[in-house]
Amino acid sequence: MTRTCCLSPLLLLAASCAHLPSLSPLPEDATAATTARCQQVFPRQPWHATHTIFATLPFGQNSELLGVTATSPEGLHAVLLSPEGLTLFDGVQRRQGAAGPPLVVKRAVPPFDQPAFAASLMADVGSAFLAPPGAPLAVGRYASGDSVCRWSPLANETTDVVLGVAGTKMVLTFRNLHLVRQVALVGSGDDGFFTEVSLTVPGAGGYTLEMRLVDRE
Amino acid sequence: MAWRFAFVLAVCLATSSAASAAEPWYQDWDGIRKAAARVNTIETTFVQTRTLKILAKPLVSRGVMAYRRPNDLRWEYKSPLETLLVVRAGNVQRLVKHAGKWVTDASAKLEAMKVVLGEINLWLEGDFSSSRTFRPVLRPAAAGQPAHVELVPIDPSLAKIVSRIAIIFAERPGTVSAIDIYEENEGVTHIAFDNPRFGGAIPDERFDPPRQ
Repeated sequence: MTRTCCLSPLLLLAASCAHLPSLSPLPEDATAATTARCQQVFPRQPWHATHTIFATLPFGQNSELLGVTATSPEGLHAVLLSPEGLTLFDGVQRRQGAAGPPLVVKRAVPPFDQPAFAASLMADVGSAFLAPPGAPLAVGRYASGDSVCRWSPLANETTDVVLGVAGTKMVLTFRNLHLVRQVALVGSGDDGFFTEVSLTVPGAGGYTLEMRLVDRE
Repeated sequence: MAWRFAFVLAVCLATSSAASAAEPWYQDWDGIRKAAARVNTIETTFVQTRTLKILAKPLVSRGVMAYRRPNDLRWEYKSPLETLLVVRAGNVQRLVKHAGKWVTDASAKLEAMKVVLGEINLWLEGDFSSSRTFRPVLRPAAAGQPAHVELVPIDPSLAKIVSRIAIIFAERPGTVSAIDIYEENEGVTHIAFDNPRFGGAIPDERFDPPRQ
């Protein structure tokens, strides 16, 4: 977590300037290898994973849950369980182009039934565990020297996968040039499964989710 | 968050392995009440197994439980989550462990907990039929199913979360061996108790939040 804390102010400062961090080019022969390393921070599909989730919510509220996530031909599936095993939320984000609504909420109990919650949760899970589709638009370096692969999966959204010079790995999501989500990947990252994933949504209504890997299939 | 305690209500009769050769103590509500009244303290470990359609392997949690009559309770998960509920003399606290320290779980609605814990007192007396939350049905052993109390939520909003609970009796009078919590179309949570100890003195500290 220490590395995350050190990086965060710099990234937030960069984001506050309302432009994307600029990239300087890599040597041409390093681009393919960097792209491959960026893609390796995500698990290869299909997969199932179970995490403990410690949530730090606005106004200092804390809560701990179990999270089960999976990818399948249907799409991205996320389930939140209470410590006692009760299902609090169960939703599926369908793959692009699949028939039916893009987001299906199978179950949601208060307070997880708020209209914006499902979309926000799936975006969080997607940021942490799904590689952006296709090849990156750009591969380069931040001024800090960190290597970066940049995707733009949506018109107003940019995803940077950052391979830090000190070995840190992060996924940053910018919307309308502002940082909206920061994912720090900590640990060995075997097959794209990191022992700890820390997701921060900055801002007044922001929150932090600290996810520890329990099991994977 | 009253539903969080749905299973705790049941747990407080917990666990056993010893047997008596006489007629089962759970023949009727009166027998259950009398047997439960003779259980003063319980300490036990438990294994909670949660099946989910999207997981090939069930999700296993482990923890410990302590109960002291009339209404002191400790329900602690040790893995994979570390969470703790302690109730002593009517004071309810729920904590989670983070970065090596216990912190208050602010999402817990303690007022709701107090209401449900009031129900627990009825259950501790083996008095299922007075519950305002669940409608109890006594199910004798049949067709490979052990004897149990089936609890069905009275409030439809609770029924959306827990469709029914089965409290499976042990042979030792006043105790149960396992609890199954059913969710509609969502699999089952099975809590099995092991290594129970009955009647031993349990110090006050077990029902207090940890000092740190």
